[in-house]
Formats: sequence, C-alpha cells, structure tokens
Amino acid sequence: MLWRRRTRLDEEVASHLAQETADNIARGMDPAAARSAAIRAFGNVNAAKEKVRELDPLYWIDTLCQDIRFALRLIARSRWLSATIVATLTAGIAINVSYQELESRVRDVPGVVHTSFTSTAPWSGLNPTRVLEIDGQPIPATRDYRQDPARRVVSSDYFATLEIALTRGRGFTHNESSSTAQAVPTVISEAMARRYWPGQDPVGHTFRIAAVHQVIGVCRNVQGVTFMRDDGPFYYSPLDPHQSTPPYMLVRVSGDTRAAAAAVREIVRQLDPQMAATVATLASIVERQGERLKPVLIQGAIAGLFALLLALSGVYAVVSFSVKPTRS
Amino acid sequence: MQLLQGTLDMLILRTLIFGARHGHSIAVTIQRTSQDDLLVDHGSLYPALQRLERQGLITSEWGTSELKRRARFYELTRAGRKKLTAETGKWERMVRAIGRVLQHPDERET
Repeated sequence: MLWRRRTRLDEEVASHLAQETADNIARGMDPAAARSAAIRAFGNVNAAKEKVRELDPLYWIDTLCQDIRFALRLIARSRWLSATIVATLTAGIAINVSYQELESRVRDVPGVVHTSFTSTAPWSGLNPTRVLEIDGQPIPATRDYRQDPARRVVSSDYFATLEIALTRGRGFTHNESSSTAQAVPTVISEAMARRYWPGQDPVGHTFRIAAVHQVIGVCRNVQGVTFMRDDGPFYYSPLDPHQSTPPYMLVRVSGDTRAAAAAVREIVRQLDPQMAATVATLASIVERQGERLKPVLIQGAIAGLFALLLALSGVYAVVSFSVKPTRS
Repeated sequence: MQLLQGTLDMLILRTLIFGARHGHSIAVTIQRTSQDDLLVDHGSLYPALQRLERQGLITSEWGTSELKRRARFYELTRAGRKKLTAETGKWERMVRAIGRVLQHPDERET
C-alpha cells in the first residue's frame, strides 16, 4: 500500500511538472529554462513526498526501514566515526585565542590528519534560512522549513575532516572570508543544487539570503541533522579568519584517538587555563543520538513476531482444513 | 501573496465544485481566479489533496490530461460539498467580523 502511494505520487509529480513546463514554454521560455522554472516552482519534491508519506497509517514501517538502513550504514562507517574527535569548547576562548592558533597547535599533534572548526555542531538541529533571490531574481517564500536551506559556517578543512566529497567546483582556501568578498563564497549541497539549479552546474551562480552568496563548489549531501535521512538543502560559508573561535573543533585522527583527544585537551588548557574542552569521538556522539533507535527497533521486532504468529496460525488453519481424517 | 494557513483545503474544494480536475489544474485555477494574488505552494498541494481524500471530502481516479499524459483527477464528494458550504459560511462570517473591526473608528476609553 505504501509502495503504491509512493508510485502514485511520483507519477502525479511528473505529470504536474510536465504541465507546468508546457505552460512555461507557452509563455515563451526555452524548454530547459521552462523545466527548471517548473521544478523551482514546485519546491522540494522530497519534502512533499515526505509529507504525503507521513499521512499514511503505515508510515512507521517506512520509518523503521529507514532507521534500519541508517543503523547498517553506521556500522559500515563506524571506523570513520571513531577516527573523528570533536572538541566542544566553552565560551571564553574566543577572547584570548584565535582559532588559527589553536588549529596550528592541534595540527602538530601526532596522528592528526585534519582539523576544522564550525559554529554549529554537525549533528545539531536545522537552522533554515529563507532564500530571497536566485541569480538576482526574487523567488516566492516556501511554507515548509524543510525546503529552505540550512546554514553552516565552517573553516577550510571542514569537508576534508568529515570526508564530505566535493562533486563540483572547489572548497574554501585558508584565507577565504565571508566579510571581505563582495559575494560570500559558498559551497552548497547537491540537494540545494537540485532545488535551485535543476539540471545545471550551479558553480558561479548566486543566491541572496541577507548577503549575496556565490556558489564556488557543490558537495555531497550529508546525514547530519536527523541522523536518519538525507538532510535537505545545505550551504556552507567560510569562517572569518578574524572571527572569534567557534565552539566546535573537529579533528580527524589516524591512529590512537584517545592520545590525540588528551593532547587536544591539554593544548586548550595551555592556551587558556580557564578554558574547558569536552572531547569525544564522533562515534560516541552518534551512538548517543542513535539511542532513540532502540524503541523503534523493539517495536519493529514485536510487529514482526506478531506477523509471524499470524502467518503460522494461517498456515495451520489451511493445513488442518485440507487434510482429511484417515479414521473416523 | 501566500495563502493563509488552513485556507488551501477550502480553496481546493471550491475549485472542484464545477467538476474533476488534476493537481496542476487546481493550482493554476486558484492562482488565475485570484488574479495571481494567491500563490499556491505546489509542494503543499499534493499532501493537501491526499489529506482531503482520506477525509472522504474528495475522490480521485486516473485519467488523461490535456497533454495526453496520465494524471490523477480529483472530484468533490457529497461530504466535500457539505464541508465547503460550512467552511464558506464560517469564512464569510470571519471576514465580516474582521472587516467590522478594521473599519471601526478608534474607540477611546471613557
């Protein structure tokens, strides 16, 4: 039933986009621009599908499947997660220490491969922002926050640290800044590229939130916010080199993560004795987040057991009915 | 202008009063009838249609669109007509009441 609904919606969306494209062509647009405008007007197709799925009484099965997929993916990536440590810095280091200083000290720690900073934890909630213009053209507001892109302010090595592959363009250089350029150099996720520049290379295009951003690169979508499904559109702007130290430092380690974590803690203490840093591997943070999987998996197991009992009783009933007694 | 929260369902029902339509046609009709003052968020339309269908206010079946494509056509049910009448009455009362407040001369406490 769930599958039938999903196929139905896919067909409806395809039909809707074809109609809208035809209308746009009739208004004088060329076919490619007409198709792009139709997709843009529709908004985030996945968010619409998600909303329809949520209406289904069997939605929990869908969620369960996604959760199981997520759990399997976590197991597959556990080595990677264990090799990334996260230092959460208490406020105050901002006053005394620049993040470049901290970064250069941490880079000297044996086993450290990449270091980066971010103002928002990779696993924290969405902070969607409204896109006002695409390439100088105003666009209508969406009514669903999941369609709006979320923002992350990150230092240059963020993508390398979290192994987020860039599929087009480039990442940030060490001196790139949000405040010096006329348009903020920005890396966007593939979901955002599909949302605003469907079928096009978004590199070089611009969008406006408060400031104007210019797309310099496209990166793969990440599972960060929900930990369960691909995040929606995302954009990443560079940290200002003169900005105060952001609260999250991500360190990619090859080798002994415990020793590296202790060294990071010690460096923070040396730089500012008033400072405290909570250091943990990304794996342990994800595990804590994943705790909510347990009730879902238990629920799934109970439902599965119940279904098995029903099936067995059905088989038993059919066999009893069809087998004739040999003796009266 | 974006639609007010909760009004999309009523406008969909109203659009279907003259016969079955597919999703795109519903969105375009709302925009055109409002002389482009109301913008329907296309991404919200299909969840709303499926919600109304679940409530038994509309039914749907596959048909062929003007582009000779397979499209899902939605039709108002009897329950949908009743709901539309009730909602329209409620809406008109609300508009009159808000209008009275907005057009009333300033009241000063005595």
